[in-house]
Amino acid sequence: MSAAPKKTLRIVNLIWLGPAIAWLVIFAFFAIVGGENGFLTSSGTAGWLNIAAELGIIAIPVGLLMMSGEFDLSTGSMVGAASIIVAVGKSYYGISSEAAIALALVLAILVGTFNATLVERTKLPSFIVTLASNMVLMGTALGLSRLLAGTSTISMKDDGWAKDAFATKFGDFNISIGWWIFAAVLAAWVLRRTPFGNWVLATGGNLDGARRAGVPVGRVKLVLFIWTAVSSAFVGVMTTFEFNQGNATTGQGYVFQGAIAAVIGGVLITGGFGSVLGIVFGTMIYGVVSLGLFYTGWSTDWLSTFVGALLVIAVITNNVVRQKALTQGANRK
Amino acid sequence: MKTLSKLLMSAVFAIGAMGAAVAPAAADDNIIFLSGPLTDPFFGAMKAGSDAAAKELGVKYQYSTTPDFNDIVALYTRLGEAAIARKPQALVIGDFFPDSVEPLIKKAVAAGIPTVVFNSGRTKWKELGAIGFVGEDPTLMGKAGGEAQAKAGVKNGICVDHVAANPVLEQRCKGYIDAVTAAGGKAKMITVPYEDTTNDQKLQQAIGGALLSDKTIDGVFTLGPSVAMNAIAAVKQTGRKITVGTTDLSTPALEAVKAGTLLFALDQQPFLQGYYGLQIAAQYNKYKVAPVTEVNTGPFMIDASNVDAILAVSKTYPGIRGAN
Repeated sequence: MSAAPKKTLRIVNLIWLGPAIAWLVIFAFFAIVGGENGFLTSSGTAGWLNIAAELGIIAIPVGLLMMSGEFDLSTGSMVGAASIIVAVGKSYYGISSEAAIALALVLAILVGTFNATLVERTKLPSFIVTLASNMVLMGTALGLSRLLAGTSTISMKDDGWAKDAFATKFGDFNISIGWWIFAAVLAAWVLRRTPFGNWVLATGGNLDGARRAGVPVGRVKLVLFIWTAVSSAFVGVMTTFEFNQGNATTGQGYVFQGAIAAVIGGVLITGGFGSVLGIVFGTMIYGVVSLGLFYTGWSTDWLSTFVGALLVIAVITNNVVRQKALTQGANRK
Repeated sequence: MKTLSKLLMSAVFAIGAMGAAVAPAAADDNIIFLSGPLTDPFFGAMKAGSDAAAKELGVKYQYSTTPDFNDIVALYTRLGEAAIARKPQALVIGDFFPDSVEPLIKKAVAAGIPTVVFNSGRTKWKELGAIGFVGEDPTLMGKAGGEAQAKAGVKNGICVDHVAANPVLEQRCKGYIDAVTAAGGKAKMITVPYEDTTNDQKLQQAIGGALLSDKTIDGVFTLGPSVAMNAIAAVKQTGRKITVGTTDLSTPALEAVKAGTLLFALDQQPFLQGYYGLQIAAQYNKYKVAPVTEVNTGPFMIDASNVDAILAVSKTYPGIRGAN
């Protein structure tokens, strides 16, 4: 963490450039093949941005957590659990939106604390710990929703402030895009401008070194695990109000999509390296690729093949960029 | 969705096995109806049908099932073995898991128990020696959807397969595509990656993308009531006139049929599968009569012409349609 030479800093500060260029290339590709099919229309743009926004709100804290050297695979179930809490709470118990959302967020804080504590106490890999809590949480959400409501999909109608806050549309653009920008600005500020940001990178870069230097690594991870859980619950709440229904199994796609977006965005999977802007571009790449294919008119059976290939290319490219930066001795964003 | 595949999908979520609710060996004057868990409204409707048949025909019967979808393949098989061991008057059994259930059907037939197969197993019941079959045909289900859309003027349709690689959904799509093609139009299937099966945003935007990519698309066929809602939202976004129809039911889907945003919802009528399943067994026992071909309970079409009546019945007799 010593002062790095100016030139190196400039390279490291450009972690996001790789994903940004990749996004441009991919966007241009789909603009050419899918452009006349409506990919470039405001509706088409809103389509991939809406998807990227929901994924991005989760991918950003997941990326921060990865920078600190940990995984959170319980995000998917947190989305479903929050969704079912809101739907059951409002439809079956008639509680207010405030109370339902508060319940979902409290559960998220508990889940985040549970994950962090278990990882810290047992020293087990967070990959396994959070995979387990993902399954426990999903099963519980499904079981409770069937027990209380007899079904795993629960309709919910709401026209109050929560609908405005989570489901307002500007044309075809969802308000979730605004929440995503807010999440990104907040995370970027924390990472770049606060001591906590330094701690995150230090914890992931060299755990023992960070500990010796007095970084409260346990607390750093606790905050980050709560951050991912609360963000996931937020997305669960948001989609429940937007689609007027809660589903216990919704959100499982985010478990790996969040990590994929972060990795495409240049976050080092073993920690210590990454940028929020990079994750934002990684998420945009994911949004464009996962939706672009539907505009080409080609067979959509191959979608996962595209995403997988993209992941490999992105990781290799990012690795080259990172090697360049790291060989010059810098470990800061 | 509501057939073999749905059960299998739910079984994947199995975490812990609950004890099977096997009744003690009682007097063997029962017909045993082996079916799915009542936590699912679909099977609730099925039991309403078998209850009604038993009451009207004056036969004793027992609805046997697992408590929920946990570890269902193993528990269901065990319940089947227990049922055969009891030597009931007849066995009415859903062939949801062919690999483990079909040997059971053979065993029951070999033990001299009259056996009726319902819901799934339409191509195998005769070969297995069952006395009858009542259920749906996924290809016919898709065909009915395609024909209804073609009649409504659809020339270029898409079938949304939201559970990639699910054989029942693929058959339904094939039936739809064939029917639209036969009427002089064209149609294709779009698939959503498996992990996004319940991601409403992704489903809506994917359907929206497909609609924008080809301005001539004028029909969407979905294979579940929840996806139907996503399709309606996607259609609204395009501002074009696109006909949407779906298989399976939910209350919002029925309300959409009433509002005119959904052309139809195709029902496989689980109530009738329960009713006829028990009736075939009872009448065979009494008179040795049985239908010689498959009895089709679906596709039953719910559209603007009958939706009011169906919504009204759902209020008087909740759960008869199996909608939630």
